[in-house]
Amino acid sequence: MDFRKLPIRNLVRRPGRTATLVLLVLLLSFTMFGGALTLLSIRGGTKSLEGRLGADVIVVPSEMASKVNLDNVLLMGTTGSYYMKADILDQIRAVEGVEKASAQLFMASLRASCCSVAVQVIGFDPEEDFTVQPWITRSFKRGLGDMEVLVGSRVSTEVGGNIRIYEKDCRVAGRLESTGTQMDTAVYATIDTVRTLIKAAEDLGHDLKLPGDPSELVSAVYVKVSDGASADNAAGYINGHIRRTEAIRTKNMLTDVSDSMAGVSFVMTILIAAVWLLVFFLILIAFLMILRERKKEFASLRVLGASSGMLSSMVFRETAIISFTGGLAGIALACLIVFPFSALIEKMLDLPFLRPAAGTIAGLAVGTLVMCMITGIIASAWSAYKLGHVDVSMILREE
Amino acid sequence: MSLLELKDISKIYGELKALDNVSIHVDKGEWVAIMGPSGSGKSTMMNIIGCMDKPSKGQVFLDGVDISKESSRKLTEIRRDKIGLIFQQFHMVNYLTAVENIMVSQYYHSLPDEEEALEALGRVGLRDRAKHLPSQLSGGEQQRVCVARALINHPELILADEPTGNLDEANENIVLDLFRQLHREGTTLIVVTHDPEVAEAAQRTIVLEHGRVAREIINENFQE
Amino acid sequence: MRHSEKRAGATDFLLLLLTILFPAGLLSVFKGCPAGEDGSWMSCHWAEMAVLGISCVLLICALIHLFVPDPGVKTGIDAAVIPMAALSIFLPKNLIRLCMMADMRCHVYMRPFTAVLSALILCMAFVDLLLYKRK
Repeated sequence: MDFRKLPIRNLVRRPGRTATLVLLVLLLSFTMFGGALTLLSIRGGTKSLEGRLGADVIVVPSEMASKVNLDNVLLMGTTGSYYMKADILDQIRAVEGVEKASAQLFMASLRASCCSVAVQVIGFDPEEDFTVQPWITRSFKRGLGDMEVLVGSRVSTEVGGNIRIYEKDCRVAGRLESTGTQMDTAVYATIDTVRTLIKAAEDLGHDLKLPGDPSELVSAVYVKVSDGASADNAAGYINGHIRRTEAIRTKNMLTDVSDSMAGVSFVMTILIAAVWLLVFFLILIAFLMILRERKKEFASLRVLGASSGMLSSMVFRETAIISFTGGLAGIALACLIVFPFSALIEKMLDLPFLRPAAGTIAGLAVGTLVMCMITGIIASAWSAYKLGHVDVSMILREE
Repeated sequence: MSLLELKDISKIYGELKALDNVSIHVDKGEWVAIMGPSGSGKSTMMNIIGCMDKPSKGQVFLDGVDISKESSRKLTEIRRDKIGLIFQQFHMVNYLTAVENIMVSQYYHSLPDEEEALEALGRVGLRDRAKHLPSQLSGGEQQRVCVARALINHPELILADEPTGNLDEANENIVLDLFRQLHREGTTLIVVTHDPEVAEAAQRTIVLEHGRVAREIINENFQE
Repeated sequence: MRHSEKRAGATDFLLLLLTILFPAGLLSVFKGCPAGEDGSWMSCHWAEMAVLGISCVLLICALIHLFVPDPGVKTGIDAAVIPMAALSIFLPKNLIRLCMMADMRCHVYMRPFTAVLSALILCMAFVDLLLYKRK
């Protein structure tokens, strides 16, 4: 037999105790890895949101602003159907400090080709757009033609296939990068295509309750202020001078998302810390109990010539095996839950959720494993020391 | 030639003098029994001879070297290299088989060698029990495994504490026969016991009382 | 007691537990998208029915695995469960299309649940097979 495997023999000998300790470490690594992965995903989602939100101010119809929670609507991408006069765009462009302004036209389809679910169609002006475009060109290199659409990463239609909206076939020209928001489930087209689709809907007898001719309507205007100009002033001016509109600072909306992200972060951090403390003390207690139980065994080994270093290292190897196994199992379990159910987690947290890169996940896994090992080793250090330095003469005295 | 010499050894625990100015010597190849009632200091003496404890006062010479002031690390080395220990309670590692218990001793000493360990088991008549766990062995069998374990590294001194204390008469005889055989081969034996029959098997008996050497008895009827 | 003499071990019960959870989950919390207002089903429904069918077969396998003590039967069932569980991982989406939007029930609940349960059942059968082979 290989005596370097003595720790394994001892662990196998007490399956109940070993399983309990492994489960404890599993709990720790599951919480640490799962929690950190969720946090990183939310952070990634928020970051991608910030990066993509090129606009300083978003102008929407005031009736819209009063009806729904705008933060959610605009940031999570649940756009909805609401309209205002297209000439508002020119008025906004004339406002002092406005460098760029670009209109978008939204349309919620009632029924798309495959499923009875509403597809959000977002129409933008390829000539002037600065919010959707930069994000699109990263995955799609040419201009978007008439009756062509780009789909979000989570619309499961093949590129090159067709998507049927109000009996009109739109060719899927490309798929966009994942953003972690509900923008991933939207369909993007030129404003003209959206107008054609609206027309098609009306021809089919759907009443979209448009306040005018679709060619004279827009849903939102995205505004970028020039360097040095104040976005607050521009928004204030628009609110004061352009009727039936509401100008919102995007920075305020991001703050709200950051706030709820901070809330989730805080809860997660507390949870991880609590679980860590719990597991640490339970391992500590478990090893103190083992200490009492195994004094004789270790004294016997000492008598046979094992040095205290050998015995301490034997305890540490047992702990390391337990921590490694439990840590690995916890990480595997977290992967098994967080990855398949990421859409569900996103839904429950209501925050943008973007999975970090594979390298980051691997680093996180290694970090978790190291933390589990360190926790186990620190928790068993006292017992390892005591067992290593067990008083050999007790072997006779206790008889 | 003396293998072991204790010079004016005392061991004091607080107020209690477990050993009080004890001096003895044991020659190479000699078989000595240490007797005495409970509390006479037998176990304390065994701990000191077995390098498991240090005296409060006095000197211990093993093979001519004073070991009374050595560090516990050094004592571990000396114990490993020169002394084979046998206990009343056997002290086998309960999750290892008989042969593995012997190999542990080899492992800490030098290198485990299963063939040699099996031979040692054969010597005590337990080769067929090699793969049994301690819980599957009788007390006598366990003690014989412990004898094999004590022998495996060819120690200069075998130190046995009440080796037959937990055994029936048949097993007691088997163990004593093993000791006789070892003695014939030139191994030095120190057996701590309170059983007169076990003591009579030895060449010489040292009787301890109240931490002092009360008397020494030479066994006239000693049979090789 | 040796493993081969055992009538039922921990893996038998875990396998049964998982195969009970599988159809139970599919029929309750983790079911796919509901029928449309006009009563018509979306494509994910057929994937769900197929997975449900497999999950019931797996449940029957687990019951046989539990009650038949013969190691040959047990390992045979393990060997059958492994490819079946693998199939049910790939059935929704890869073999039978799900609904268009990734935030619909079939993507959010049904498919991940199917993947996780199938993976666990597959691993459990594999572990059981290894345990029997080793004895």
